[in-house]
Amino acid sequence: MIRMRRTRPTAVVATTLVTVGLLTGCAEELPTPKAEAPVAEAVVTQAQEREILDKVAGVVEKVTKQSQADDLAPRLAGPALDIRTTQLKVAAARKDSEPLTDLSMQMQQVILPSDETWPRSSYAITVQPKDLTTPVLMAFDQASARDQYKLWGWVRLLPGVTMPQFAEAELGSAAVPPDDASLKTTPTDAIKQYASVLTVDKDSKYADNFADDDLRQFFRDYGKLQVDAINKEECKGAFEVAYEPTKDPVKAVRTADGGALVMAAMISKETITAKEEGCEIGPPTKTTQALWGDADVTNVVEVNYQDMVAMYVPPKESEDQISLVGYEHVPSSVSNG
Amino acid sequence: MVQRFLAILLIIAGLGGIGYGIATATVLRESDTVVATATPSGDGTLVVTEPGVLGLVDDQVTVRATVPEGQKVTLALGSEVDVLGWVGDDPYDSVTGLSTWETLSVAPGTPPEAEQTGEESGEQPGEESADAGKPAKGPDPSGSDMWLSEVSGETTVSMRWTEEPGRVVLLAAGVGDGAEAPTLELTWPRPASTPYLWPGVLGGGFALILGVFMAIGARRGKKKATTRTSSTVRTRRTESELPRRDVFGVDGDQTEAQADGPGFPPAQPGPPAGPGSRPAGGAFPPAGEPAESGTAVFLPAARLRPGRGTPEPVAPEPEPASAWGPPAPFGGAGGAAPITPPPTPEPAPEPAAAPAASVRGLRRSRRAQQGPVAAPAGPAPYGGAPEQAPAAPAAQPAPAAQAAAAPSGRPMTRREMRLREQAQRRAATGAMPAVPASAPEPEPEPEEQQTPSSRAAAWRQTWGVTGSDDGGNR
Repeated sequence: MIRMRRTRPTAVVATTLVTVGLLTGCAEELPTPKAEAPVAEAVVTQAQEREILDKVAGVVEKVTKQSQADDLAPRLAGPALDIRTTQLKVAAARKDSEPLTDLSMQMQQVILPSDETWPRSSYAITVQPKDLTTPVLMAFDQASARDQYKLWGWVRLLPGVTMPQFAEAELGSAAVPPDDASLKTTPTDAIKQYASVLTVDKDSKYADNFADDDLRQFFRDYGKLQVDAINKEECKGAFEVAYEPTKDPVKAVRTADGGALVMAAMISKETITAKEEGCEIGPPTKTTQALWGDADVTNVVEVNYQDMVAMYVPPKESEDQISLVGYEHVPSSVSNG
Repeated sequence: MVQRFLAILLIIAGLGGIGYGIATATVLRESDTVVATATPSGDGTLVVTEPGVLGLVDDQVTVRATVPEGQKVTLALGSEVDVLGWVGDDPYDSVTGLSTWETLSVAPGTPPEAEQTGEESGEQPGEESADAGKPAKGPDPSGSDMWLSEVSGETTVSMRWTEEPGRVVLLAAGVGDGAEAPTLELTWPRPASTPYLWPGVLGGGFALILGVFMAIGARRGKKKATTRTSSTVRTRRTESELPRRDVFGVDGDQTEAQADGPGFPPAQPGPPAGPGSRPAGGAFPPAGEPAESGTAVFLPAARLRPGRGTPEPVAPEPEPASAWGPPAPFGGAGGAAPITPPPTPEPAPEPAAAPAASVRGLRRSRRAQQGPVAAPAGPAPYGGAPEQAPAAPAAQPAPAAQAAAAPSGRPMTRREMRLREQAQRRAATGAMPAVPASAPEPEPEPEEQQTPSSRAAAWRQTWGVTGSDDGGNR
């Protein structure tokens, strides 16, 4: 009987094992979705950005060859569309391509968006163009989820400028709202103030907020050149320039130090006047001459420009001044006042 | 009977287990792919998978979207944020997971800003419902910069996707006028593992073996029972001989069986077969004995043992005679009965056709009586061993002794077993009848001769192999 007692548990164990094996074989659990936790990263990958750049560059290149400005719309928007259209017009008038900014998109750096909402903006800095002009900082914009990324604006960087640091491209950089208060001035105000500074230079009450820059120096030199030329004829020359922001939204992206890179479109008008009676002046530059057409010559030349500026706005607590990093200054029309 | 039933049950279960294990790897083997379908429920034209659904079963997924003949359909993969952003306020179906292995669960998707649009802009819902009222014009997501991958086509399109880090989701859209949400089919490869093959086969095999042994045991038990009845008489008759019977009384059984039975001729062929089967069922009585009679003998012996065992360890050595007093009653139990008879038949079988083992055992049993020193200790503790010990020499008991002897306080070591063996062999030569006393200790030979050959000899004896060793001794 002992043997019986011994075998029974064994049998029970064996039977149980077999039964359990049989049963478990029938019920394999359905997997449930295991989604990765959302992580902070750029909403546009670098690979995607590359494709976007290629698509935009393709459109730009095609349009540049064919001078069909209408075809720009699918991939250009806002100030960029306006400015490029103007450039094409001027280039057509001048019958050469010098007015056309080189927009080939070989990038040395991309600044990708981290915001999941729209509009989204990415930025990119090109390598040095073949014509040895300075690199171009471009801004791309996706207005809504069902829109494509479009070139929204660009500036030529100032020679020797140091760009602020941005977050890693993988992480993406946050957009800064136009009224962001963490900066020395809000992006919107920064543009307004800078327009004032460009217009009246040192006489602006905001002059202290801005470091001197190449653009302001350019107007000083250029104005002096024009005035001197007129004065040579003793015509009492005068030169003035007036800037104002456009209604296009200001774009800003956070830099690593908490500041922001601010880009905005402006328009400007420079007026050259020969105040002496009887003096007449014509368009000063090759481009304005091409745009001048057969208008009568008067004592006034007004040149309208489309502008784009990019500036670094330091964080509020910083002692730095707002500094220009790049601009684009494209004559769009000229008139005799 | 119960044992037999259990044995059959075990055999069946074992065969079943093996069969099932093999079946899971063959006919029942799962498909190499999981194909699940999502049928859209809502009136939108968009279907979106939730994060993680694409990688639900495997990293590699093949997506197929089908719309009614002639319509256009687009599949796009993008990050969850991008896809839901693109979908925006449009109604859509959300694929949330598997509801069965063939079906994907679908739920109406919730627009992310449903609450806002619902309350803040009262007009918007109106507009939307107006939009919904007219035949749906499915927006086309194709061409967006945001998609990681996309494909468009008519009626049916499919794409493959290898899961990447991130919350990637699928957007399937019926496109154009009167579009409907496409039917999604996700196909994953699945490593068709056969997790039950080896457990089934091994477990089944184990149960089978167990069952087979139980069956054999049951059979032996039966035989034994018959043997017993015939031997009982003799037990009585030979009661006077009881004292002679020692632990190895089994031999008596054996002998008796042989004597009893010309009817047991198969008994002889048994021994060789024994060794083979024994290792398999360690717990079972050594099979050194003839297959039929042997097994039959052991079982009852095992049953007996408890009764007999108790007296043995206690008093066996000093007073063999008195110690054997108790066994007598066992006759009633049936087990003891066969033991006594041996003496009677002894002379007869020995010279006759009795197998070597039994002869040896017989002698030993006598000897053991004279010098019970070593004999009782080892066998007593474990089942069936006592009887076999002599018949199926030393080594077999030895392993068992190591494990089981402990309780008796005098474990029968391998060495002791060997020594005893030697002693018995010597006794068998007949040179010195009194050897037993000195046998255990003064025989260091075997110990020292831990040479391969001596081991081999021990092994041979253990497993009942009649080699030159035995022959020589005899």
